[in-house]
Amino acid sequence: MIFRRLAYGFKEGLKNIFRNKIFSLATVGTIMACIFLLGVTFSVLLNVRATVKQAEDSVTISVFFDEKLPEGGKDAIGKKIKSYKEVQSVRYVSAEEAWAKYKKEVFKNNEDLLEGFEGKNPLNESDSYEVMLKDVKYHGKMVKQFKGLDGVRKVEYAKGAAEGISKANLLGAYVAGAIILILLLVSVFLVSNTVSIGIAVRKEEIAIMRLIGATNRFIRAPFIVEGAVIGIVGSLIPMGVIYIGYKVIVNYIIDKFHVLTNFMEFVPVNQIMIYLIPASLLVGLGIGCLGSSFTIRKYLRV
Amino acid sequence: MITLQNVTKEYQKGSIGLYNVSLEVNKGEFAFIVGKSGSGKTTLIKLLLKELEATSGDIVVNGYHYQKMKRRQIPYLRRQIGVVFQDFRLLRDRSIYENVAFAQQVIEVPKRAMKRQVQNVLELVGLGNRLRALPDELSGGEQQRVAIARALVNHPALLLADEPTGNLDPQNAQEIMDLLVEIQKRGTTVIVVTHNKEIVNQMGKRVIALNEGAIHHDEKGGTYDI
Repeated sequence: MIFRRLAYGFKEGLKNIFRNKIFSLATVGTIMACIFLLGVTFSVLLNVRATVKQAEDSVTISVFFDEKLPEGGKDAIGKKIKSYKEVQSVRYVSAEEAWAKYKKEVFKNNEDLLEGFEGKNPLNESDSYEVMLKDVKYHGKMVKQFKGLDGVRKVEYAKGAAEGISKANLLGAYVAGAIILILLLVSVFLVSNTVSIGIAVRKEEIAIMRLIGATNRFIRAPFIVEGAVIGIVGSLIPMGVIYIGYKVIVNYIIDKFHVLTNFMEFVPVNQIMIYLIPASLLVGLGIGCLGSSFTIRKYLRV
Repeated sequence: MITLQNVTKEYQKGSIGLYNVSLEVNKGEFAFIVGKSGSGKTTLIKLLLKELEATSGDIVVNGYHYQKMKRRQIPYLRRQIGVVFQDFRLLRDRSIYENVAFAQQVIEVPKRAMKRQVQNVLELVGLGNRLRALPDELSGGEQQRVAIARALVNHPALLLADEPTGNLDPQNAQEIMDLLVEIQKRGTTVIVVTHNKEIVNQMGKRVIALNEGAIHHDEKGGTYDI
């Protein structure tokens, strides 16, 4: 019984698509555009997130100690910092390491200027803890906490970078969410329109079906199939376009704008498609089924 | 088979479709429903098909109590009732076989049984050799026979025919009426709504005459006179 109903639903649903060729194509086209934009937004967002993450990882907080700190004081501060749940990792940077890093960064290619410093460490007493947080959004709060700790002389951090990254992250998520939501609503509306036309074309047939005792489920099945097929086709095609397009664009950027790769790393296409294909299929299927079931339900209630 | 008790149908704008109608039709009976336009014939048919809800009163058809029924039971009630319309209501893009098979498809009859039953019913209405023809290739009388075959193929207990001869010439009209009588003789209850005075008077069947939504007269072997 169920198999027969499914077979009937598929057969009639596919027939509906071909009967309303132009509207079906228009709907597939619009869903394609929506899913394409969704895919592009998703790909860009994923890359932005990767870049942000990379930037986040480089935003650390340096905690310096009081000069007259008693024996074991530094360890106690280290333990205290580690105990915060917002803290990802804590690394002790000795004065020697700090000086070596400074020399490398500032006097690169000008080593002769260092002659006067031989055997001396101007950053003596500048050992510190380098603290990395789980999320850049905790920066402000944790800097305050660290400043308040006993034995801490100074806390240094890249204020602007930390706040900027946090805000950019949030803004990106909001904008992408809004775009995706609008596109989804437009798609549902379009599928609903196409199915309405299908219903209008088959009005007489549906009226006869009702009179001879067809259940609503039976009448609904072909329209749901129609919506689902349109949704799936409309989501698969842009996936192919995005797969090829992404590769071409990333290769082009790497080739022509090599300097960009210094501060941003592109997410590999396969890593994007792993999420994008199932998500798009689900969204396409969802749009198709939702649009058609709303419409047919409304019609059958009358 | 059919019981109506004090049935009234009032439309939203206040007009009365049917007023306090009570009647009973037995299993296997043949009855005409006659009356002028606006007398309540169509309202009565729509109430029997449960396309409309009665404002008050009780309707029982083949054990289904309309007032107590749930919405989801309506398709199953309608499988007990075959309907034939004046304008045939055939699907123009499908063959005669497909039009009749459609009724069986809708109630999910297995394909093999469907083939046998469609063939049988088309033979009963005299169209056993026109299976592949499209409706537009048939005469009005033949198209009405297809519509009757579609109404009969699911073996309904009740056949409702709404002006089945309205679009036919006298000879075809007579043939359709003969076919309906034949169907009644096989045990199906048949109710025919008609304006065809000659046929009603000539057949000597039960006549339920409606006037302004109420029963004017209800007589076995009656006539059209209102």
